[in-house]
Amino acid sequence: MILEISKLEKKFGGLVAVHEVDLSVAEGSIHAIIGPNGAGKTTFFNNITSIIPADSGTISWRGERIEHLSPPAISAKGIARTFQNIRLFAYMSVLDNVLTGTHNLYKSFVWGAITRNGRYRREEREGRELAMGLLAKVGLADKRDEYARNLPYGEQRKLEIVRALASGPKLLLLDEPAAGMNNAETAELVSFIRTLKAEGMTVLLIEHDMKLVMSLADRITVLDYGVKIAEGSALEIQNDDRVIEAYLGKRRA
Amino acid sequence: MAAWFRKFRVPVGLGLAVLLLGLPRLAGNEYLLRIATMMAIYVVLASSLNLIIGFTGMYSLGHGAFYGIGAYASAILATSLGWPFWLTMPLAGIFTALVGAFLGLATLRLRQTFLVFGTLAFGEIVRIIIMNWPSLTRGPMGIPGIPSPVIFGFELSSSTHWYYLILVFAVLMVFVIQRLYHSRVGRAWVAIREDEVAASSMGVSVFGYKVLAFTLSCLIAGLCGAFYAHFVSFISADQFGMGESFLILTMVALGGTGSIIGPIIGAIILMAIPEAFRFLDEFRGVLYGAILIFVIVVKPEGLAGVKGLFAPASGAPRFPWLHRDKAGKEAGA
Repeated sequence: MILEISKLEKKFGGLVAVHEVDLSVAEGSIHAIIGPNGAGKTTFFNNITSIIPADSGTISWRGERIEHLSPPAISAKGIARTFQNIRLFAYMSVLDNVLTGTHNLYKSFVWGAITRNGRYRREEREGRELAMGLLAKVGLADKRDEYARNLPYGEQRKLEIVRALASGPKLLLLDEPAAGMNNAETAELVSFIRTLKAEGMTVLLIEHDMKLVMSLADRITVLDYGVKIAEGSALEIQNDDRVIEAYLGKRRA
Repeated sequence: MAAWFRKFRVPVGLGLAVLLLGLPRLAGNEYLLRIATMMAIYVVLASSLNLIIGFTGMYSLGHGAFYGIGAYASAILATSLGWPFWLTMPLAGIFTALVGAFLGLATLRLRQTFLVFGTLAFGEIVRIIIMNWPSLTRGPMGIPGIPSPVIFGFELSSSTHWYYLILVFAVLMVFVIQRLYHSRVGRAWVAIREDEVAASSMGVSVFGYKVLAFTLSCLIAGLCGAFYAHFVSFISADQFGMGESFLILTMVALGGTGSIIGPIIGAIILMAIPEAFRFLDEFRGVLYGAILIFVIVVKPEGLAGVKGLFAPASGAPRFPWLHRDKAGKEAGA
């Protein structure tokens, strides 16, 4: 297990957003978290990445406890994420967005930046090659100099994934990557995530598009009102009474 | 504009170099040359404030105080200890940077509005300390007779010498800031300006990079202060008050935040206006204000900026009162 979460708890005042959730993500798998709106999925992601630290519970990354770390430290461990409401650096070029994703890979600092010494030039060249390679994969290479804010919505979603990938993560957290995408874009996204998996990436994703989830996920966890109500393969989840109840309401007797 | 500039950058650059280097001959008189020298100092001051405001998206209304700390530090070391300019100038910069780092550590976790007041208050505290510590700063009497720098036994005293010295300093500082901007460090700053949460998720230590931007900005402001003190040879506390902080801020806002060229343009315009419009006397203040309001309304990012201090949230109409259609009015009512 690459990521093991146990008894994670997060309250906002009287509202229990995440309640004693356990989750294990297998290395190299695609694991989906689904649930009705307000089920605590995004809060759960924010807990993992420490943007909103959990109140209690443990998060283990390859056996090492990480729940007390800061967001940059989590990023340095190899966990990258995207956001439900796209959070690109709007007034930054597409290329610079991705280069910012490489922040953790390099060491050059003030002195290197001013003198442009050997290490700075090597790191900058490597970073650019990496970033352009990733942009080419999603067909954004020719938009490298555009401001991120000028991209159409679907491309902004792609750019956010690429920016996350630039940090060289082992685990990628995607918060509703297909939201607002049309069918063609979603199909493209599915095949892109499959390629990532083939390259050894572990993906944990939140998604409302059931077609995407059922076709992609190796394992699915269902949250409702902050509680994990089911977990299993796509087939198991589709036939789980509690899941059907959470989404559609109780069956009439 | 950018494409045009790239095409003609060699002739434009050469023309600029000739103009800057030939200015002492072209200007023909001391007065214009001293204004050009002050312009160069303000170009650096505005560019350094742009590190805080334009790149990192923080606010500071205390930049005049850091300028003053640098000026006083260098002046005191030079007059009371007799140390040479080449030693007091870097020491003044380092001392100012330390004060800036200290203030940064104490205040940079504050939200924007509180940071504005924190830095504003700090600026006033500095001025009041200078006024009330006569044994060190001579209080309201100021420090006269600050010596000129000496190179190889040759004293830099004429306006032409000073012009070239400060020109070299200004070009060097703008060059340094430009290189920082186009680096891993600069990208981290801009990422913080754009979205702190996303930046920290990408591995940028937000607080650390904020303190870094603040410290470097103060370092440069302190160096400016040292050059200024030895250039004018007399300094007093009232030269580094709130008005000074606002003047530098206005230069950045007018010229453009977040670009390299913006603060340079702003500094040149705001140094030229008081001279060009001398006949307006006290109404020049009104002109300042009018120009600033005009720029904020028409071009919130400044004349050559990237993203404005006063830019509307993305997606919001720039002139909401122009876009309020019938449906909008009904919804609002």
